Amino acid sequence: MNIIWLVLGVIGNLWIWFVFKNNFLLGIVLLISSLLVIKNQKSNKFSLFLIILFLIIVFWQINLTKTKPLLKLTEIERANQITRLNSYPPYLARFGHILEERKEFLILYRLNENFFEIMNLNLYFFANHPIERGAIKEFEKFAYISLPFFLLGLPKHLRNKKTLILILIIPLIIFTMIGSNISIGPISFFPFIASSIYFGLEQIKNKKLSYLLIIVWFLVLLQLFSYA
Amino acid sequence: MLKKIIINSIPILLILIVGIFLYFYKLEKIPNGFYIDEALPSYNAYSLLLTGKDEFGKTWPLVLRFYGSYNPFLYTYLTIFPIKFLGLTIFAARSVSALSGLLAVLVFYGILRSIGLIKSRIVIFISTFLMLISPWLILHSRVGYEVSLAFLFLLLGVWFLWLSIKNQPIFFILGILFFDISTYAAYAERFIAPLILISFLIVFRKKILSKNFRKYLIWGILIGFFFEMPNVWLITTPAFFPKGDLFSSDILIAQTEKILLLPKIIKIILAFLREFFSQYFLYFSPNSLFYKADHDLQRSIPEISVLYSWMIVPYLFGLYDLWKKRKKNISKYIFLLLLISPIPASLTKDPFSSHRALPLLLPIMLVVAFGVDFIVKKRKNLSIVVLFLLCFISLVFLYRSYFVLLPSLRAKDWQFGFEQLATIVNSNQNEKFVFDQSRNKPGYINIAFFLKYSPQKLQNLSPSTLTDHYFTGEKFDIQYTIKNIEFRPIVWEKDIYKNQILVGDELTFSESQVKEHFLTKSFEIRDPINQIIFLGYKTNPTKKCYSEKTKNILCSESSK
Repeated sequence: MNIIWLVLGVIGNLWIWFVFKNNFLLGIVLLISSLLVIKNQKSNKFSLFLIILFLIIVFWQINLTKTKPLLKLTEIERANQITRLNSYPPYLARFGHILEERKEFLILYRLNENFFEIMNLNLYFFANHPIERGAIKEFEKFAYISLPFFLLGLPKHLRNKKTLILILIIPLIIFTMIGSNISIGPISFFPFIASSIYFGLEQIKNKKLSYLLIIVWFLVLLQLFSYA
Repeated sequence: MLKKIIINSIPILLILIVGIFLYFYKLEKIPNGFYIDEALPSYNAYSLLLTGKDEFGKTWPLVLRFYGSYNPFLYTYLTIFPIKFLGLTIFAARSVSALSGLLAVLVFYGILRSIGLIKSRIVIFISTFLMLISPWLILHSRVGYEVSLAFLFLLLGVWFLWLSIKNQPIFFILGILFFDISTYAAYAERFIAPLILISFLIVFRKKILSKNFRKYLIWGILIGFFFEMPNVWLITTPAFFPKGDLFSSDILIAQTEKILLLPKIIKIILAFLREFFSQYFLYFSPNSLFYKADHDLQRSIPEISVLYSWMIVPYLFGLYDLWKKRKKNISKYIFLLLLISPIPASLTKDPFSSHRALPLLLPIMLVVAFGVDFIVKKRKNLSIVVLFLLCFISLVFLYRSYFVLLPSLRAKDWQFGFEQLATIVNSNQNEKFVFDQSRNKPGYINIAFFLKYSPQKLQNLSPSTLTDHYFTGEKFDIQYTIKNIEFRPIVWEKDIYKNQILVGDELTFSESQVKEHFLTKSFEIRDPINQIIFLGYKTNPTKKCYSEKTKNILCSESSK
């Protein structure tokens, strides 16, 4: 493992320090699980230690998440639902009732909302800029300079499908069901993103480019620290 | 032979039939309203048809000034034809765009057939169908402005460039020609088309510089340059770059000032990089593409994004498949299109501007097509059944969002109400109306459209020197009087002493003002969900003057 890329990928971001600031133990768990994901990448074996750590992270996030009930609508959502229902002409009233009021569809819409809230590149790399959410205090997570390396590193995860299921698919399913409204961000995805960034950085072989990247990375972190 | 042709034509005929319905059904009613960006080209087309001049009296201009946007001419000029045969109607205003969108789908089908790597006809059919029913294309086709027309020509350019690499170098010239035409259709293409072309030349330079390609390259460049001469001339005027205020300079300044310790030039570069890439990657984010795209209510459809949620699956599989095949020419071409298309839109401050980034729809749908192909190859029968089912479900949700919800929920955003206002103005020719233009978008062009106002009369309303300084971007206050309606800010100190009907939205008139000035409600126009669009209040100068302790000079004038 390349130490410099490891440092940049796993701790060269503001998110891990934000987590450390809020909960030191949780930060340590995130750090170790990210390192284990990277270490396990070459073998197809399941690390029991990684499974335990990851379950801790998931349960921690579940505990801190302000769950969005699948069927319960807020007042604003209810008002919008009524407005939508009134948009249907009388001959389509039944159709409107099915699509706007039936439980199955309400659950579907909520799951859709929760799922895509997680699947948002800008949330992780740009503090949700330029589509910041009104009621939520956004904060910087990963440096935007790491985004291309994240994308480059993604295919490497496909070599170890078991780990991918653990660190991506399982939390994706869980937090699609309950939402990811948590003040420290959707931490369950931290190991996946950090390790992908590392795998992307690993592909840089040119020394001069590496030095330039380190300098730029540092400048970007300074920039993001200024915004925080 | 004939039987084979008929069987091969069935998929495309089916797509055409569904397409004609989706793109033309209730075209005059949905979207509900008539936006200023639609009224401008259609009224100017009407003016050109009747007088050979635009609304300002300029004879067949290269770009149309409109409200300072200097739009390329092609859409407006083509709209002359439906207006000639169908009259000045909303349907005629939107028909060129609707037809362009439908034709773009057929071109997409041709591109898919020519790719070579996707061999399954069923995959090609499904992918074409998905393009046809994509909310992104439908929204920007069923409108009265130029976006889908430019998209059509860009697609043709992209297709012919691909064919030049694949089959016959002579197609290179056609590709350049269609790129040229696209730059006369919409603003964004002036930047995207050259970017795509330059990138294409770089990526495929070995093939293009080969002996049998060289002469077509030279001819292509010569023809391209010849047809771009008007644009080259336009670059020397402010009319080429009228949208400078769209760029996010104020955001950049704010971000630069926050950065600590570093020299100013580094701060500017970093601020620009963050701002640009935050906009740029938004165009690839699954959240934007499949859940909530454009936050502008006039450029989006309620409860649906630019693509359907389930399409994230073929999108991700398609990206993976193309990455595996990245050494193949088609993959390089698709990645090139993917990377280039959002660049101009990313330089503006509007997050996910669906109309500026419409060119991105092509590479995204090609990625989806590869994803569909990947899925079908893994589990043929099951996946085909599932895909057909998903297409049907998507149509149901499209119907819900576009044909049911959009006409009522977004009527206000589409400037609903002007048609009704024009009817009221026309039915009360003895009354004088003043339309408050202090906060609202200009309404004169919508009223001119619905009243079928004489273009000669409208031309006489603009400053006579404007045609001499047409391309300078010189601003002037558009305060017109069209028939018996005047467009200007209400001057409360004076207007209440004249017998007229003041027209504005619900924020124009407060309860205290209505009471104080003895105004009487004359009419109100509401949208389908009962929101107030326009209110009309009749003044009562007699009562107003009588109520005043000290006599206002305007009272003696009003009594005359």
